[in-house]
Amino acid sequence: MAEELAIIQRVLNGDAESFRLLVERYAGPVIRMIRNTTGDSHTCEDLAQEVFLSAYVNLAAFDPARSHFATWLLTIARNKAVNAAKKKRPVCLADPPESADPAGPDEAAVRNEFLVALDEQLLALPVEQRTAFVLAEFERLSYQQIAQIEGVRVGTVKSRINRAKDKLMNALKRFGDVP
Amino acid sequence: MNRQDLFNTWKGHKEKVEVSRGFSEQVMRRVARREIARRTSAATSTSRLRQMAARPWARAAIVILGVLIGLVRIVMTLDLILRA
Repeated sequence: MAEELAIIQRVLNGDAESFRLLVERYAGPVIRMIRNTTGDSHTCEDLAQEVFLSAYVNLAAFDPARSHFATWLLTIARNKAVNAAKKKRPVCLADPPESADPAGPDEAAVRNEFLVALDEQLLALPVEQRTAFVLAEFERLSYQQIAQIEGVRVGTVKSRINRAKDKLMNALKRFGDVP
Repeated sequence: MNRQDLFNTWKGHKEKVEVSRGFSEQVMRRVARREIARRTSAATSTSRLRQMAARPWARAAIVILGVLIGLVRIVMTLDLILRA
């Protein structure tokens, strides 16, 4: 944390090259967060570049007393991802089969279908439930951090995540148990 | 494999991320371009200010313009008060 603040201070003092350390440290989480929110693995790096550029330009506005740098950065990423997700055409969900055939010849194919159904269901979630779920399950952030990023109360975050999990699990009930 | 196991497998897939090798470099190139643009813009503004400051007639024009704008604002305020 102190090291990170020192890097930020160096950047603010004009050492732009130090910003590379922050990019290298947070590229993975930012790209992953955008990819999982938008469902677009092709443009997520372009959007992540925008996030880092925006962070660089607004770095003076970052207040370490209010949040961690990671939380601040993921707030920018979340907002850009949500805007991108809203601009995208709605996802057309294919109906999954009523139940998987346990005696089927291709177990892997059935499992794959199961995973695809989860992907589709994730993208079909309302965007605020999706971002809360993504931040909790894939970024492993605390409820407090997610509440800061989403700009809502902790209770709201918990309920959004629970609703998202319920919807995902309900979607999978149609499959029955997979071999 | 039950649903929970499969859900965990899916989570494992979603947690994986590959960052392309040139990602940091691309970001830093954009940062550098932005810095150059900012410095050029700041230098241009400073240079314009210096050019204007070096010409007495330009300074006089700016002062006159400022006075005129001030007068117009005073007149507008008075007008507003008198009409109220």
